[in-house]
Amino acid sequence: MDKKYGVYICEGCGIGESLDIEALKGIPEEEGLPVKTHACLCGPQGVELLKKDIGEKGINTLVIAACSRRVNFDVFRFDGCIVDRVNLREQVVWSHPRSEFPALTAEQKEDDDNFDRVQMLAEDYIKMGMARVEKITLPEPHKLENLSRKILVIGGGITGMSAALDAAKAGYEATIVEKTAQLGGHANHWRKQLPIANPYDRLISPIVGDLVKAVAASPKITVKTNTVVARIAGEPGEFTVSLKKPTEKIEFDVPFPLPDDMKVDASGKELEAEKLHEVYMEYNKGKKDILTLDPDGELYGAVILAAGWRPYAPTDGEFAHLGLGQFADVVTNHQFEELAAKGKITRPSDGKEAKSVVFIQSPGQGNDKDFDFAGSVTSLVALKQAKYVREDFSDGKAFVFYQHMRTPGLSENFYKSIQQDPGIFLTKGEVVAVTQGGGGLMVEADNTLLGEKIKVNADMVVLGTGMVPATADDPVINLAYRQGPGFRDIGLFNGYADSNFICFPYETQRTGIYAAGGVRRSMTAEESIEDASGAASRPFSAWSPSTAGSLSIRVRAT
Amino acid sequence: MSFPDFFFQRCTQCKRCTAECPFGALDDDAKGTPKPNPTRCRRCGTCMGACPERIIGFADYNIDSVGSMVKAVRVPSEDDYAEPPFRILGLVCENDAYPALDIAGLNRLSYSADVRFVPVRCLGSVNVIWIKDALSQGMDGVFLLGCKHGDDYQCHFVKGSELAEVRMKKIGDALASLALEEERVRQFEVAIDDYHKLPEMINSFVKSVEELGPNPFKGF
Repeated sequence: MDKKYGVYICEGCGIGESLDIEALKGIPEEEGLPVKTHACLCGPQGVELLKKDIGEKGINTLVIAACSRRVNFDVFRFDGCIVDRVNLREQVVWSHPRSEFPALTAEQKEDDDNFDRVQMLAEDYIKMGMARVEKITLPEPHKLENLSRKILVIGGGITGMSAALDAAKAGYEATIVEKTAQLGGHANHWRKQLPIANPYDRLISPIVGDLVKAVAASPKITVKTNTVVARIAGEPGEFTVSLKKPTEKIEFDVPFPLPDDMKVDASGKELEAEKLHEVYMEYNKGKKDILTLDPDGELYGAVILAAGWRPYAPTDGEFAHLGLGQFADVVTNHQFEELAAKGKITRPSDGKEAKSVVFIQSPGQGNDKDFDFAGSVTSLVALKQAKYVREDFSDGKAFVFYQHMRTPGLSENFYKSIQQDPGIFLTKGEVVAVTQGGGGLMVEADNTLLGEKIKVNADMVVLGTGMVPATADDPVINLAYRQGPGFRDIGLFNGYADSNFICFPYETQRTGIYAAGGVRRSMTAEESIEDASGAASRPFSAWSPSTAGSLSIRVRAT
Repeated sequence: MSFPDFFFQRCTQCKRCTAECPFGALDDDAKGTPKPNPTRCRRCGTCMGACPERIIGFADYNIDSVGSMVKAVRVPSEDDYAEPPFRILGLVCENDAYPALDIAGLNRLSYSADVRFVPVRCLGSVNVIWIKDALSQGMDGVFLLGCKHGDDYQCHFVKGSELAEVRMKKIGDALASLALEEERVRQFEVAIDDYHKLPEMINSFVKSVEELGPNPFKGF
């Protein structure tokens, strides 16, 4: 573009009072650039002045010396024009008041060794703005050849189904890929579910069946069970996806980057690029390189990662002080749910009715941390399972020992209803030992709300272990990216897919891949449904009609 | 939105851009030449900061545009004034640090008038050439103002501020070769609501540079 420059200096908001505007005008004038001033450039007359210069004089490269570029960005946006905003207001006059940085008096001006620091600051910023616009051009939108608006949902549990339904409701086609033979995930194996609607005070029947029906009824949703992602190649807007059966090995399985020790020769020197590629191809024998696109691959625009979680598997000897591995009647919350889903709760050791059950929320041993991968969901699950004991036995008793009882939002109503149950005892406390005794187990707790050691006879003990994200075990998304198939481990997220972008929820370290549900953090079904809506809304905002034809991943001011 | 352009003729296949991109946007080929995937990009410029050949840039944000802004700063010397003011460059992350500066202004908090700020998309996009440019034209000090990194990091592009810190450590040798003190280049962390801390942060850096004395390259 042939640049036609114009410099505009606003005198409003204290700029005119603080600075020598005539002197400022000299800066562009010295370079032969036209300069105009206005008392209030962002007002209707000011904007009219700019529009007139653009329309009549063909000015297309504007240096606007006024307020910060973070304000009035829409006022000073002109299609087809380069605009630089010189921040005279926030970063010059407002932050350098004349009370502290006095202007030169007429007398001082006569001595060449005197200078006005604030005036110099403004002059430099105008020069810098002029330098910038000279060196930049207008960005051109990137257009994809085969833009796809289809959404791939990885995982057919509550989160994945909810996300697909939300996408379908918004008019997009979605494909759910589920690695097992049926939709539903963990929710298929629950006895009851935590409340998801008003009055939030009682357990409900699992809603997963309704979701499965809704998915089946939606013409916009394709379901592929017994299927996993072999690789996702390309880029957002036109991902080429290869799918396969879970145990299959195919040539479009994703290759893995070389481990560091294979990138060097025997003497520790880094291999030459071509040799490196050779070793890499050998390491990934039978798999196509990441740059080879699968001719039979299917195009998708975005991916929602809803691969969920697995129950934490304690290692041998872990939680031995709580009797796990030693006594058959000490189980994890996940194992307890399986027992409860089958019918009346009985002790694994002898099949006797489990009328007294202790729920432990923190492994203790000197600190008050909850079990790894736990969260408010594990607090709520303990309350839910305590209720099962009361449902099964009118004389049943449940004891919940916790360091943190987290019942956010309206789940507080559920907590209150549990408090009202005379057969459920809730107390903060540290469980110090689980031993055999009294015809069952003996649980000893310290530092309770009662301020003393207490002992409880129990038929069963349930540990509130956490939910391990699927991404901790496996890349799942299998991206054909040079940096590797999964999210880069930056050592902060325990395998969770969340990128911890404070400002960009649901986005991950990989553009166009949005995470929801148990891969993001441990959460309840209700939270997962909400999370799915959030993640499913992300691709749509990138594909709004205003960006039709070109793909804008995120709209920003610059 | 803008996406990085590469001047491939001068690429040395060092793969730093491919390795450091927070979003995995670049896939190098068998020779190690990066292949851009524009829609994976979130325009942070980490590749531009990483490139030792300086062949990566954006239409509206590149080595030359920022370098020219730095060079546009007038650096007064003893030829101009008996006691010339110091000149300090602040490369400021536009995500949190730049708004924090604006909020400081909004609250009429004042700080040294000898500092010149240049907004950058992320500290990860800061190419050390800008710092060398600033010092070789006689500016007395340079600081980077960006997001917190570490466990509770706030960098919008995950690793930008951390990468910048690593690169700043490496710049020490370059400074030594110019016979300049390492203390002339610093990096500070700021959160968007830390605006009240900025005056002290800026002024104490300016003071520390003043104690080192003027840059000997001034006036050349």
